[in-house]
Amino acid sequence: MPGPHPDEGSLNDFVDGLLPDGREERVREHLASCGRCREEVEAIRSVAEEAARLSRSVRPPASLWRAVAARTVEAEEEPARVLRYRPGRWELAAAAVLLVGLSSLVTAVFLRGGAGVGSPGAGLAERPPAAAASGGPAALDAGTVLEASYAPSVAALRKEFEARRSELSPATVQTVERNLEVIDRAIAETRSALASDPGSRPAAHLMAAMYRQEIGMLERTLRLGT
Amino acid sequence: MIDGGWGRVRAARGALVALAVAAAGASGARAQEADSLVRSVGGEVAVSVSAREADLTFVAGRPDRLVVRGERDVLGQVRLEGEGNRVVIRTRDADGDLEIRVPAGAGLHVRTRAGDVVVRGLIGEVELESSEGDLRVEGGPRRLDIEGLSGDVSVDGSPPDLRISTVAGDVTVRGATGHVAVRSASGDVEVTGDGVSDGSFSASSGDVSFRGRPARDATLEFQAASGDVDVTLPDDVGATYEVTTVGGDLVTDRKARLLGAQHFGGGRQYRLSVGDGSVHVTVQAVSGTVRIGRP
Repeated sequence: MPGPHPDEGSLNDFVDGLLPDGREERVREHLASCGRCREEVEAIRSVAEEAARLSRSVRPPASLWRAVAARTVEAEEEPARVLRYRPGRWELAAAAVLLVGLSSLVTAVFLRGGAGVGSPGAGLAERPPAAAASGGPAALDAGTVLEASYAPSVAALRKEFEARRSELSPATVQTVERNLEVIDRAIAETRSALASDPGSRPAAHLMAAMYRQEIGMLERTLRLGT
Repeated sequence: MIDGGWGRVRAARGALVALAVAAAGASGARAQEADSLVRSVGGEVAVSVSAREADLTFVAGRPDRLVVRGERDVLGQVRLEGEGNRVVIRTRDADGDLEIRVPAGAGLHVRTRAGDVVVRGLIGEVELESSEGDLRVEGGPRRLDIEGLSGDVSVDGSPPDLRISTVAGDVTVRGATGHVAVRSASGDVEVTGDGVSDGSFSASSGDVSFRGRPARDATLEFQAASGDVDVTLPDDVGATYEVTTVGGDLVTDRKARLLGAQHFGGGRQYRLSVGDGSVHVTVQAVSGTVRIGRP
């Protein structure tokens, strides 16, 4: 028995080497006997590696986003086509994998801050040094990169939500809109914290977590409610 | 006078007889209206159910048969499809109660729009999806995966591998153990139980609370955007807490040692330790209050 499947956040952290020792070992044991999760880890790694080969441009090229991202870009350029875009389950899943991969890149480059910063628990004592001065990874604006990583998919899901809101019950629409406001406020707060302290791992983790919440809520709403 | 009195007695007796006959007739009618569909199965059984409005109750039954019971007009909408041990149940436009008895170890996948779903006593792998219905599970399926939109979710039992995701519904888990992942947007998340080894709990505007005795070396992760987070562990359970918040407060009544504090752009991160620090608790809350408590 391979045991319970780790969730995608755990696999993401596993790829980043951010899991606590005991948990990393459990995930490793699980992967040894679970082909499905191994495939997911490989997908995360491949996207992260592809992204890692890119220059430090804030926005990844459209080729990275494959099918979903391509459609997102098309939708941005040609708003009239948005209404015809109804992502299927696999596309949303692909978007999730891409997001995990990009998140992985962001985590690796901006949150770990180079060698010596390992587990999440190391945040206080081993905070990334003031690499801004030395031109290291933390010199880059983590908030901007996180926005670039997540915002396109958030925008695509929001457009889809708008296009299909008539298929949803009014109560559901109201709930989702209320929570979008809450999450947007949270993202703005963490973004502001990151703007003041660009090298802060806790702030970056928090901001990424809020984006994941937004994406998860929209994806679930579109899949179950329409 | 006498005739008149007798007449009233006869009239009353006649009325009683009429009532009795009517009652018997109604009872007979109910007995006739309730009906069932039966399918013989055996070995590893997989049941997939697609429903819209019907309220579904799944209970553990005989290992060699699947039985669907309901009022005849409701049952008339139900179709049993599939081959061998793979059974597909479609309730189409059925709008009423259905009781479905399946082998206790059967795998079960249910997708419904507005109907409520109750699952009792199953021990196989169970997956439930619902847009608006409430979902309730009693017992401990080997794996339980629940996705809901606006209905409430409750689990009374100890599935060792539990995942729940919902948008607006409240989530209540009593008896959590093993691997547990619960996510909600506006609903509250309330989890109690002993033996959780790996737990992650999140909400956007809802509150999140956990109370119980986790496994040694367990990892518990909590996230909230505007909601509060409340983590209550017994006094004799050692734990290390890493709490990150931007605008919220940290409150604790545990005898905790402060290992460190970090400030970042208006936010704070604290590391606390209690006892041997064996349970790892991570809390990320943007604006809500974080309470690290004792029972």
